[in-house]
Amino acid sequence: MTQLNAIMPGGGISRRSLHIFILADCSGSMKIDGRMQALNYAIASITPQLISWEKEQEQAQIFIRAVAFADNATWHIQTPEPIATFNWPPLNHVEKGLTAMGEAIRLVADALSPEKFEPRALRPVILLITDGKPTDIDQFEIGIKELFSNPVGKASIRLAIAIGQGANFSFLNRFINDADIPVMVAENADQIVVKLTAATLAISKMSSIGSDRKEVAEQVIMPEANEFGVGDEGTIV
Amino acid sequence: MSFLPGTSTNGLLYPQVGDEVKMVRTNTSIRIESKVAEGGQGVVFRGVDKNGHDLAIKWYKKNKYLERQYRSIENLASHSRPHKAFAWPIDIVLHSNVFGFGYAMVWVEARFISLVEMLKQRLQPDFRTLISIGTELVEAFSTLHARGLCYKDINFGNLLVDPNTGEVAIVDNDNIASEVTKQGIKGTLRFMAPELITNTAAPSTVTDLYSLSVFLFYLYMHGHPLEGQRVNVSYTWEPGQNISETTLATHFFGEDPIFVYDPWDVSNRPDYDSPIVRWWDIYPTSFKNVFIKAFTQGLKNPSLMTRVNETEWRNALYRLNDQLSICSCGAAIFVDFEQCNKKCWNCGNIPALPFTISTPSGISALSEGFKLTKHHIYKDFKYREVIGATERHPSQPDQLVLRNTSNMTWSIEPVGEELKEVKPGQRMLIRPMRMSIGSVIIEISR
Repeated sequence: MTQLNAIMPGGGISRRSLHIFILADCSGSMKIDGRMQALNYAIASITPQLISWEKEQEQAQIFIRAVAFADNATWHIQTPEPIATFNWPPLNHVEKGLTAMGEAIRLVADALSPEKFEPRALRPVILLITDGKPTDIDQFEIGIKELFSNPVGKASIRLAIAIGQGANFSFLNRFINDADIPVMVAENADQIVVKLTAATLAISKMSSIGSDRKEVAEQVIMPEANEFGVGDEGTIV
Repeated sequence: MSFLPGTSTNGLLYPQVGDEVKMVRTNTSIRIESKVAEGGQGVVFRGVDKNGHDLAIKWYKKNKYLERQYRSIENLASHSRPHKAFAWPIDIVLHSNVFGFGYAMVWVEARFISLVEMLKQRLQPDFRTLISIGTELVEAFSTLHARGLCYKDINFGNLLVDPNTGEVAIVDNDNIASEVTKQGIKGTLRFMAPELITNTAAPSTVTDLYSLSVFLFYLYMHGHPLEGQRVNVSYTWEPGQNISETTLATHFFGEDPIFVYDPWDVSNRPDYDSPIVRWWDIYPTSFKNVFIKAFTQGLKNPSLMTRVNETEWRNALYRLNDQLSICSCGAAIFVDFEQCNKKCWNCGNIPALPFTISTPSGISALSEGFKLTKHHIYKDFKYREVIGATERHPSQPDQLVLRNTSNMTWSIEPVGEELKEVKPGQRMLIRPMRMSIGSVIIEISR
């Protein structure tokens, strides 16, 4: 039946990059209740989910970058890492560390400036995980301004996971800046992986062209509101 | 509603691993073994029946269309599956104390993968396997459409392929409905017919034919038929220039689509480094013309006549299979009877023409793997009834022989030789000749 050993052209299809930025809180309070370890574990556990999603995607090729913030914000992963070979070096909390969330947002806003960001890329995703509120409020204000005055930042998909009771929703909502997308709450460390999994599903669905963010948020982020949700993933009703 | 066995006593939305669900018609139990996937509509489990056979169970999430979904599945399950490729609903399943319902279907083995996954692999299946995938897909949809049903949501998640055998598995059959049903989903944007994107038509066989063409274009050309330079330059992050992806997609796939190889409009040619460029160049003119029809007249004037239907696709794929040859460099190539002196995509040389066989169905390349079928002789669409097959010459590996696998004796008259017979099971060296199979005269030449 087959043509024995005939040379075939090599495979491959042209794809567009999907950049995901993880902003991880490493402040002193992240040591409570094993939150930091839970976060490290959660990121490792969503990786296979992203890899298998990417496999089925004709468009998106996922790259990860990460910023860690405590007394200040630094790149944890600065060079975009393809998800297929992605490896998460565990983060440690900073003893009595502050929450330089504003500085972290500024780092990402800078990476998203139109001259630095590839034109063919899909809307980037910024995922903020925190158990507190910014201690650098002036930087936060500048960061938010920089993010939204930039077309890439404005078009980005922004999700936030609040850990425990200490997280301040008003700052997180200003970061999300979309009334349809609520902050995801992990009541305790155990829930971090659950929420991060939901966030991953939301990222994959929101990155499908033609998706309705509000509908995805209702289906994935607020499952209790799912009673009257309908429609399969990636499909338009 | 009859299918709701009371409120969930345990408050659960789905059956749990280890639970049993029952098929309603046969009252057969299926044990839930593991959760396989979760989507917007429901959760899919692997289950095992009492004979140890694997089944897939899809359990619907609570939603306001549950009753309609129940009737739709009940209806599909009452009919036999149109083609073996469909993971057709077998029966509705219920749980003794979980609200709602699910349905059982054939378990799709792990050898079936998404087409995208296959296209991304460095080593691609050979062309005969690729042609087999396309043919099986086209035949499956042909049987579905012949029953007055349409699929509505052809996309990469639903059409799975086995890259080794060339078989196809079509999953998510629960959206299948008769054409007159206006309700239900419209599809996945990149596969949706323009008239669905612009909301000027409802899903139908005509829109299925469009989505099928997009899928086949991906299968053979490794890209989207409408995604060329015109679409790529519209991606920008320049202030004030950035347009939402959905707006762009609606425009370029719906309102104003242009085929990347539209013969009358070059504005959307693929980027030079697009895989489409390389693959498009490999195929023969006659095959490319089918895609040109599908994405020019079939693009903006939707009808059963303007779109390429399954019969046309089947013929095109059958012809393509007959044009497959091999270059002296070892690369798989197609003989293009409409373009002379076409260079080999691999070595760049003009390949020597293989022997060809002229039958009532047209000219075919006598290359390794070629099968002479009844359709070649009688044009009776019996593509699968093989009456002759090429083999390598046992002692001269650069020569091919044709084995008579039919139960008729062929008479052959090779150039410069006397009349001979090729009895059933016998082989003949391929060389210029006239041969007769019954009353049909065919010719082999170089």
